[in-house]
Amino acid sequence: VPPLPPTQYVLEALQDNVFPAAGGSALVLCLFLLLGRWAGALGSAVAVAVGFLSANFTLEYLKFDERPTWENTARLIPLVPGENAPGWHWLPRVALVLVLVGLLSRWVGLVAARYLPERYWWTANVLVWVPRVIAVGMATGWLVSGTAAAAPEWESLRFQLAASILLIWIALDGVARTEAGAEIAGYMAVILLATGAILLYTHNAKFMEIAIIVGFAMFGIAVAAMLVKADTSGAMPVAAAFLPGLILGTRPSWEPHNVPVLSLWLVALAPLVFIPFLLPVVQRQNRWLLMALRVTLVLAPVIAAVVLAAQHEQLAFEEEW
Amino acid sequence: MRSLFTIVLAALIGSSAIAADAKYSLTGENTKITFVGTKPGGKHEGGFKKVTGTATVTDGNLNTLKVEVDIDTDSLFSDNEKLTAHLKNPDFFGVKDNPKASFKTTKVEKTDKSYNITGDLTLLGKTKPVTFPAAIAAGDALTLSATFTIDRTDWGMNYGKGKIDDLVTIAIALTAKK
Repeated sequence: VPPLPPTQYVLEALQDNVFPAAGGSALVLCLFLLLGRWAGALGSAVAVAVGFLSANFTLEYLKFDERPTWENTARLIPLVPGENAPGWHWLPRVALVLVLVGLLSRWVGLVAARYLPERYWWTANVLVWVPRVIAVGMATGWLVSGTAAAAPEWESLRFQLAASILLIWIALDGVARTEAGAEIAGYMAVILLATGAILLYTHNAKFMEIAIIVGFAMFGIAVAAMLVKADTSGAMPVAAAFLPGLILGTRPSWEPHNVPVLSLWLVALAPLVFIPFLLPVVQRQNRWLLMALRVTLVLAPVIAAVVLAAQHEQLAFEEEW
Repeated sequence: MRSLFTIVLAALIGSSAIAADAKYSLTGENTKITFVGTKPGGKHEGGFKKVTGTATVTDGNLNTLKVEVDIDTDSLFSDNEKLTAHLKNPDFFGVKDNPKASFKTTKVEKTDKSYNITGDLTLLGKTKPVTFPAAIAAGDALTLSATFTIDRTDWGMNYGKGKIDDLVTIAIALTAKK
C-alpha cells in the first residue's frame, strides 16, 4: 500500500483540483438538466469544459504589471499552445474539437435517422462516425507535436493515440447514451484517477493533476446525471482524448522510470471493457447484473495497473524532499 | 635606420594584436553553471555539466564582452538522483522538449566595484532579459564570477508554486583561456 501524501498536499489538491472540477461540472450539468433529460448530452459537454477550465484557471502566476492572458492564467496546461509546444499542450484543443464534432455529428445522425427509411439507417451511423474518425485522425497530429515526440522511437505514437482515442470513444459513446450514462461517467472518473496515480509513480506531478481535474470533472457529471439518469455522451470525447493523451501521449517527455509499460496500457485501454455492453443481447440483461459486471471489468485492469506501478516505483514525496 | 624599422614593425604588430578580438571558448570544464532551489525549511543544489559557447573581448575592453552560451539541459544534475529525474521532467525543465537553454549578452556596463551584465536568457523556449552583477577580468584567461537570482516563473516554470520558492539562485564561475 503506497504511503499517503502529506496532509498539506491533500488539502491543496482538494482546493485546487477537486472542488473546482467536480463542483463546476456538477453545477453546470444540474442547470442544463433543469431543462429536461434531453439536455444531458449538451449539458455534459459544457459541464466537463467548465469543470476543467475552472480547475485549470489561476491568477497566481499573474505578475503585478501584466494583463491576464491565456498563458498566465493557465495553472497546469496552456489553453493556447505556443510555437513548437509539446503535444500535451494541445490536449484541451483536441478535446474541444472532438466534443464539437461529437455533438454536431450526433445531431446530423439524429436528423438523418428521422427522415431516412429504416433500411437506410446505417447511413445515419456513417454520418455520425465518418466526421469523428476524420477529427481524431487530424487532432492526433497535434498530440505528437514538439521536439520530444519527433524522436524516431515515437514514430508510431500518432497511430497508437488515434486508435486508442477512437476505440475508447466508440466504447463510451454507446453506453453513455443509455440510462447508464451517470455510471459510465463515474467509471471514467475512477479510471482517470488511477491514471493520475500511475502518472505520479512516473514522477510527472503536473500530468497527474491534469488527470485528476478531468477525473473529478467526470465525477461531478456522474453525480449530477445520476439524479435523472441523464445522457453523458457529450463529455465522453474529453475522457477519450485526455486518457490516452496523458498516459500514452506524454511518454516522449518523460524521464526514465520503473513503471511497467503494461501498467500504462492497462489503464489507457480500460474503457474498452464497455464494448461488449454495446451489443443489444447484453443490454437486455438484468440491470444489476450489468452493473456488477461493469464494476468488476473496470476495476480489475485499473487496480492491476496501479498495483503494478506501486510494486516497481516509489512516489516522489517518499524520496525527493 | 634598421632599428627604427624594427620599432615601427614591432609597434604595428603590437597594435594589431591589441586591436584583435580575444576569443575564449567555453565548455562545461571551464564554465560552471550551478543553481540553488529553496523551499520552506530546505534547499537543493544542482547545475549543468555540458555548456558550449564563446566569449569575446575587443581591445581588452571588458565593456565589449560578448558571451554566447548554450546549455545542454539534459546534463542537469542535483544533490539527489530522484530529484534530478524529476527536475528533467515537464514539471520543471522538460528537457526532452526543451533540450537547450541559452544565454546571450546584450550589454556589459562598468559599475563602481564590478560590471553589470545584461542578456537574454532562453529557458523552456521563452526568452527574457536578465541583468546581474559580475566580477570580470580578462588577459590570457577570462574569468567571470557572478551570483544572482531569477524568478523561475518568468519562464513559465510554475510547478510547485507555494511548495518551492519562485526565486532560484544562479552561480556562474568561468575561467577560460584563449
